[in-house]
Amino acid sequence: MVGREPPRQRGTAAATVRGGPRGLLAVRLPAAGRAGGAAIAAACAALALMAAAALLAPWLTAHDPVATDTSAVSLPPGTPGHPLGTDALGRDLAARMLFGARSSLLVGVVAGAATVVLGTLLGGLAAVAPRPVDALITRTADALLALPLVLVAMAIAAVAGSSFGTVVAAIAATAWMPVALIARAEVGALRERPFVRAARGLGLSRTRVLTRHLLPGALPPIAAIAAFEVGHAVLTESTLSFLGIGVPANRPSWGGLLADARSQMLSGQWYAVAVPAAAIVAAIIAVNVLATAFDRHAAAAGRTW
Amino acid sequence: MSRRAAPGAPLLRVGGLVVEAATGGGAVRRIVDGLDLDLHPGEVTALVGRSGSGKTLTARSLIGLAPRGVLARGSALLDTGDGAPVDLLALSRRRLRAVRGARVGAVFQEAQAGLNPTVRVGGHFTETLAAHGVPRSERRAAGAAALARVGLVPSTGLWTAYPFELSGGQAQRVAIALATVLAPRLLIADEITSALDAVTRAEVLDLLRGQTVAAGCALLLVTHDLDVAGRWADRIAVLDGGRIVEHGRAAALLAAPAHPFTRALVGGDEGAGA
Repeated sequence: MVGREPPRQRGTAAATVRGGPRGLLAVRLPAAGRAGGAAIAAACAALALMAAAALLAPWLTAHDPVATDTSAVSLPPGTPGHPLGTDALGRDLAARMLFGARSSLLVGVVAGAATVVLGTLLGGLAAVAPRPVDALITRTADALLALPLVLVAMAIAAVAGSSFGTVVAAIAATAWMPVALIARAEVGALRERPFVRAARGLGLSRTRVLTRHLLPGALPPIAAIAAFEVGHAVLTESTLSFLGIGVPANRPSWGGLLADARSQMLSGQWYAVAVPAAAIVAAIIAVNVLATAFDRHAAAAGRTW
Repeated sequence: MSRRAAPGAPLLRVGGLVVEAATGGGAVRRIVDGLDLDLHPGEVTALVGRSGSGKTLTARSLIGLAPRGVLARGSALLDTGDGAPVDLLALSRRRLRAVRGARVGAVFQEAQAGLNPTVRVGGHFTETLAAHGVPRSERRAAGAAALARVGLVPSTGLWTAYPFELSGGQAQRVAIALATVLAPRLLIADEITSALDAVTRAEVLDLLRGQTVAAGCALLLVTHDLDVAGRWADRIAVLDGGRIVEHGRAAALLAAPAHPFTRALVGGDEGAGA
């Protein structure tokens, strides 16, 4: 999976950050067009199903996702009691998929949110801060954009040790730049707007002007990119877990399932790889559909003020 | 005109104001070149000049709101009413922020755009009053009083309205009420009536003039329209080429314009049939 990820096509700096879905995910949606309504509904349904599966995991399966059973190793799908079969240690794959959804989706949402918050704050700061601070933030963003970020995330995760927090931090630290560049551009454009000048003329503090008058206006374009960041976070989490430096190995995750199943694939148990891989791909496509729809909606609505 | 004990003492004395804009390549363009101007309590002073004459940058520089890359030098001594005058151009950022809104109010052109579209009318008042330390319990009443002073009915509907729900004239009144909610000594009005129809313009300017005279504060009316200046200002200062080229009582200046530029402005107004 890692090898198949295309090079990140974020380009440099602000030139490519605006307009349309960006090439940051391995799975991209072709033009949704007018028939997008069905796709959006399907994407919502798929994500709702995954979220429900994650939330209700303990009630949907009788198996413990980490309990090994030497009397039931490597069972094929459809075995009574094990709908998706078991892995080489006899752990129930259905249970591991359900509990894995918890890790993968939670990391996706939390890391996506952390990315957006970090990027918005840094971008907003860059827009209003004195030039040296602005230069520091934008040059750091440019430098990070020029690096293969999965390697950077791997380095962070490997050095800090695998934990939920590390994965979130590694993702946020390597994905905030597009958000920051958009926030900086939007806030910069808003700075000279009459109501911002009026607010300053009324004696409002710089912090107040930033949080109340500048950042809210920059949020619509950031919201459009936020969904992409969630999909990207799911992918990065899977990558890190696959490499064994993601969420701890005793916590099932979709990427971890792939890692476990690597050896089984050559012995004919393709499903052990196919099922988690399909879940990851489906989740990212669904998120991408929604992000694209949102992006288009925002672009069509245009600047209402 | 002034009813003060020291009629000669100006409320704001601008001396040797130089405004320069940094252009590309380290060069500097001088926009305002040694401007001197006195504003007196209870009087309306019009700063008249054509587009690009530097009048808006002058007004914005006085309260530290010039765009990035524009620097102002000189002095602008404001009599705040307590103690020695303060130089607006020499204040620290924090002290300037305390002066803005409280001692010096500013209303800019395009009132509708001057209000944040995502913030309700009441929100504009409460955040301004909060920024100047007015207790939470008094903010609503202070805002309502300011709205009433500008001739608006401070109903709940208006308080919770978004700026786009206001007409142009209402928005301009709200902006004025917002700038005067803390009873500033000096009000700067930059082209505030350009976007309004003649009737609304007259109402807004009558209102501002009435408030200025009644409160004994000073109003700096920045306009390109000599007709507006002649009708609502006590004094007129004509700005051309970054300097005040003519300055005096409105009636006298209009009756006998001395500078060729003023003559052209007066003539142009007559030619337009105003």
